Amino acid sequence: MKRISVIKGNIESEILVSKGENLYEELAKKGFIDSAPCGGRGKCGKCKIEIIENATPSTESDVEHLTPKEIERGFRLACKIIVSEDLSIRVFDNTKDFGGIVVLIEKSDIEDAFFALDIGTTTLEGVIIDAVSKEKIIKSVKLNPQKAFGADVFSRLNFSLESEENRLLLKESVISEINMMLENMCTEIGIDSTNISNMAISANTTMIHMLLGEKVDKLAFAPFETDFLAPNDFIGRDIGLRCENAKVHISPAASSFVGGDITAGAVSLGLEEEKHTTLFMDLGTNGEMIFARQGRFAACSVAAGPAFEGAEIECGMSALSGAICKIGYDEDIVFETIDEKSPKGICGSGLIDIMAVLLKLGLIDETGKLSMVSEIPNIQRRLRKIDDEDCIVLFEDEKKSVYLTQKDIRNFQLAKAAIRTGIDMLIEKHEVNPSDIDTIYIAGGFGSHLQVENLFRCGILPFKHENIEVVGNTSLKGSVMSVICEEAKIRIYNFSNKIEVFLLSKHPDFQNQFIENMIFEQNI
Amino acid sequence: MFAELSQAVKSGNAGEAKRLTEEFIGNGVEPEEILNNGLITGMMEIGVLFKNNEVYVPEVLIAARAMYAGLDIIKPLLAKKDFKSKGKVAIGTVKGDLHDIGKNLVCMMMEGSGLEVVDLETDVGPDKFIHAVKEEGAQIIAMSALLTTTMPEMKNIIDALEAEGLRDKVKIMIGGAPVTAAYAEQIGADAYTDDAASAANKAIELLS
Repeated sequence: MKRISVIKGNIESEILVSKGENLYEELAKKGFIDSAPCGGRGKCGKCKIEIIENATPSTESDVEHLTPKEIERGFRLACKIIVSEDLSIRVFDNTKDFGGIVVLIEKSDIEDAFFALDIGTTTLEGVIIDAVSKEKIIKSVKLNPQKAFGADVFSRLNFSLESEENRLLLKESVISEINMMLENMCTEIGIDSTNISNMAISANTTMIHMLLGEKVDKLAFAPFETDFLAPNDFIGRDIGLRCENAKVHISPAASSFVGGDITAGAVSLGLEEEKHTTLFMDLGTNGEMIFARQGRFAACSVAAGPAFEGAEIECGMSALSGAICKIGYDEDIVFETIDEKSPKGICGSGLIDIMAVLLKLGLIDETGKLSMVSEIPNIQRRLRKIDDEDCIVLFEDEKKSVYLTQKDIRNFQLAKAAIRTGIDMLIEKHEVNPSDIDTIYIAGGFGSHLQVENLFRCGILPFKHENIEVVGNTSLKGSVMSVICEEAKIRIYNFSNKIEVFLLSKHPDFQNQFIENMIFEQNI
Repeated sequence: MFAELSQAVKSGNAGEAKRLTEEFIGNGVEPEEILNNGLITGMMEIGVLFKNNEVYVPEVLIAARAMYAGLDIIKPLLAKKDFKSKGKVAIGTVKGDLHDIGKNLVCMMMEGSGLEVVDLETDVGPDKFIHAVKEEGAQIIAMSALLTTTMPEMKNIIDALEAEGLRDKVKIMIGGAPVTAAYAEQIGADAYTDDAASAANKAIELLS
């Protein structure tokens, strides 16, 4: 066994690793890696570590992803290192200020509580409810730690398929984060997690499989038809949850790609009773949408990526205190932050706003390229290169800068193309006229600050609409409803069976339309 | 002379690419010249930038869109002239997955470098690849896999080609998220490349 001394922040730990093991895998298993989008394949460079002494010779991948200075300093990609000697390394904390905890109501005499949870591909959000008064007491947002094994659903599926050990790792990783979330919230409000009697979890089908340690073969391989859609209720201790006495209910999924997060979310809006033609979109990582008309429900999903949740955006963050959530233009870029705190980053609604502003000012061409030149002096001084990337700076002081990079715009572009194509195909298939749609519901981690006109202006919505409602985290709302009201569970189950799901990628024109939809319309 | 056209492709300006191509045709310029010096040059430049992480997937897709705007005009003209491409590649994803932008990017870069590409799409077994070699004269087989668990299919396909006596008639290249150069060597493939631009370059190299 070799001793690896690991420094993260100002904490030093030691782990024992067998000779011949892959360093990234060992570090990821022990929770030292926050995120590795490519899942350890040497493709993303995010697993970089610093070898403090006697660095191993650099590999081709190191040269590809690291600067010469970094290589000189002993930086290496952990995924390219096979352990053969004792090592002393430093790992980097990339989580920034992502998560948070918010007390909603001050209350001290809670005896029985419920826990409602949304497990997103990128973000976990939970809320504790007073069982008697049914009030929401405290909520918390955290990054899904499974990101260490792949940023998107597919890389995580790949990781799970590789071995039983990996499958268990994914399960343990999310459960321990949920337990930490629970412990923090319970401590804050002075209850014990054993006082939680009921729990409801809404999540997409893959997340539920991984939570329960189910094999994911049917999700990974065509025809993508899993029958594990509505797991039975169980008790918290059955899967090692801290709320060990809680009766746990999982919102049922409609299909492999339209999960309990969507079915519960739709029912939280009363969609199943809806007489009017409605479009419900959840702009999370998996961009699911349901089109409802005359008692029929058609759904699809698109891989939007985590841009709207702030992940993979350089200065991105969740919609929490200090997030730039609203941006406009009035002779200069003007913005608001959540809680009016000093800017710490930009959240989903801020991203949509800044894209709309940049397009309006003609700073982004139809291919998505950011111009570094503006005739407006206030704007010109914001345009510069940071770390060799073209950027626009939103805020800057001695402690912090918040800016948007060309790469961020590319990530946004992919997300926008995905969603827009989903909408186009859904309305084309059902021969809908946009003017026939009564209401459009937009769910997702934007907070309540989303300026809906900008959805059209930045190119996400292919048409203007007068009646767009921003509905927040409907997956969580669905969990809250389930945990408070037994009857809601039945409604969600019935609804999940009524949805007609259609697989977008089977459409022969998908790729072409996707590429077309990457283009930014100018002057709208 | 073709600098404007290759710039139009590179910057993803489909309208300009189309207009310039039509102008060249109208002025009697040979379609192969337009292809090689205008369209392909632009795509190859993007390929280099992509490989160096100076541009990303969206730029490549948008550049390809511009390239196709020009290519669509000259393709029928090339066909009429019995134009010989630089070579023929049959490409497919070996198992299970549906849409793969990676494999499709490789198609675009390969077409953008003057190769003829037969896209066998996804979930492709040995039979389709064998057919591509026997009946369609594919000189290169390019396989992609997205899941570690489907990679062994690549070996099956190579074995099947051997059994048919076709192994020495084609070059085989592999790629995909979990694939590595070591694996290529292990299963007896001729090459591994890790991005679309390198794949196109490698294919040309294998054919020369």
